[in-house]
Amino acid sequence: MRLDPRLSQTIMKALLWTLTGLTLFILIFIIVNISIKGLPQVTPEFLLEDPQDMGRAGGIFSTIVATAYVTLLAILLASPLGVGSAIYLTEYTREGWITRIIRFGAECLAGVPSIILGLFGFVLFVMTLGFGWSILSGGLTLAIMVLPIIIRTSEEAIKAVPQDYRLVCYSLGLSKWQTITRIVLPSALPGISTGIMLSVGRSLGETAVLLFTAGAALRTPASLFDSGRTMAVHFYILAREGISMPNAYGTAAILMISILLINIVAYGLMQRVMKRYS
Amino acid sequence: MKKELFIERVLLFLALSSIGALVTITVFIFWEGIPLIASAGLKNFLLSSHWAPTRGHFGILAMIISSVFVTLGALILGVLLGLACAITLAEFAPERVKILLKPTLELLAGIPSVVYGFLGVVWLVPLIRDYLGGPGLSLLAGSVILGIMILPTVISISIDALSAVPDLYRDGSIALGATNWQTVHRVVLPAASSGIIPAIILGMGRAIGETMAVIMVAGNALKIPTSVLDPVRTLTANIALELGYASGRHREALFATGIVLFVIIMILNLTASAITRRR
Amino acid sequence: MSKTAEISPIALVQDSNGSVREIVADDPYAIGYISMGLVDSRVKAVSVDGVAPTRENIKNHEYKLVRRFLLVARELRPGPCRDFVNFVLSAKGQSLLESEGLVGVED
Repeated sequence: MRLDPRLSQTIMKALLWTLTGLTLFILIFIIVNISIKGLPQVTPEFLLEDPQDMGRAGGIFSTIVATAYVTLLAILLASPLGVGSAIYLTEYTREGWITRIIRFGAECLAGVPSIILGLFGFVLFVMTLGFGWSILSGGLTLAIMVLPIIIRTSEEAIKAVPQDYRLVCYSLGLSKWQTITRIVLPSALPGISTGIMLSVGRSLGETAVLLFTAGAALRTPASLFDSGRTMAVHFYILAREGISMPNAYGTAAILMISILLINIVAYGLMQRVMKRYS
Repeated sequence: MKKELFIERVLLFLALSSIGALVTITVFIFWEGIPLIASAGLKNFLLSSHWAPTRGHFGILAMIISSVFVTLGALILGVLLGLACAITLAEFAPERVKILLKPTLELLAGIPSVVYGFLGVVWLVPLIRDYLGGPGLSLLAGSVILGIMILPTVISISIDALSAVPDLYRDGSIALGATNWQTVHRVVLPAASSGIIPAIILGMGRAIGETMAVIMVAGNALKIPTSVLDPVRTLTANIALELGYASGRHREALFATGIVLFVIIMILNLTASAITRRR
Repeated sequence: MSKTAEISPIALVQDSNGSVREIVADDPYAIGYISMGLVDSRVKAVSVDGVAPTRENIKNHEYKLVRRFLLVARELRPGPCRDFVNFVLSAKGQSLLESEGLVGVED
């Protein structure tokens, strides 16, 4: 019995729209839920006060600081490595076995699950190298996590710089390195920044890695070797242990907003790049 | 000239950092975990479901099975809903909806996994417990939450893949008298499959590697699941739950678990890359 | 219960006391074990062998499910480590613990 094609189309369309509606409902529900329960908590006091009474009261200032430290360290470490790799891949070699190995390495690295990174960071930085649970251990491990992102986006950004720019520089007598630093990199900067912003966004949400490398100390970290609790870890602990639901939702809302803003900036930058070269 | 050569060497060194990191990670995980596999026996390690590390029993079969089932469930949900969404939006929806949707998907992709897990505990687990039975913390809960987590990625990549199919194909099909739906499922989908399949495999990799959300909703019980309502412990949950206080052979066993996880995910990712490259 | 009995494979496991309490509070059929300091109005601390887990019953050793907290260090040299231990054992430290719902050390 063959179904009339128009009938089967109507059925399928109805089914598809229903499933889509369901999906969108779920996704929007998540955003709305966090916003409604969390946004009211986000007051200047909440942001500027330290957690009190083991997180039952007070704000999340120390966690904001810890998050900033760890993320900053990760970006500082991963950017030179990532951008340098990208420069090498695009400017100094042709497609060959070296580039394929490097890209393969970056791809595989991108696929390593966060708990394995946490495991690695724990055994290497916290234990073997003796850094202990610290901003240092956390930042180093996060740097490894975001390295592939920076390599990938920087490579695309550098490749997007028109070859003409380089040819003009060479014809004017500039060396390769001068061309890169004076013309190519500045042109690729918006694209590279996109990668950095995406990395920041990724770091903000990371929990497993930091729990096992940076620890969960509530005090504002005063040095690289202090342990610190990032916002995502703080949320996890508050929510899991039922310490303070309002504070948990507030932390979640802040995370959500921060990541949203960062992604907006990142994609805004990307639009600028695309507009410039099209 | 010499300066240029020096710079090139430095950059090569930096470029090898990603490989270096990968190799270091692999070496460390294997270094810490292999002794346990050697002493407990690979067959015993992989095929026994008896996990009592403080008493010398290191069987992770239950966790392997749980990871596989949770991921499969997540895929069924994520791909079904995600693909349906992508098809509707790419083929049947007006442009305005698409523009509204992209930022929403970005936003959702950025929400930390622990938030998803938490919402799962607050909303999904009681639902399962009250209407379906069991403790609520279950294989089902894990699959649903993971499925929802991979939705934004699956939808995004699928929409891109579907949009990349040239309109020529669609016009040709319609000109031959096919309905829109026939065009979609007989022409567009197959054409887009080389983009959609890697998305699915990546989603699979993400689901197997997810830790925090699963710990929160899956129950973490040690037995092999016999129903979707049973609480389960995945490979990732096992590592995360016990790493904090494991020592000696117990810790080695957790690294060995990490090796198994690592191998599975690497295979998945390499498969995805191979398929993408073949496009 | 024999000393070689193992934890049941169908037991749910969580990674902190707090989350065990949250689950038991939400699920009418759940039972778990947590630190006394975490018991709040949403969960009921049940009696064991007819003995209720009150402060008195713990101090006079009637309630059996008791475990001491251990402070561990590689060595107890004079310095912040030793000062901390002394603080915990001092009157102020003990009263802090008791205000968190824990049972202090009798001397």
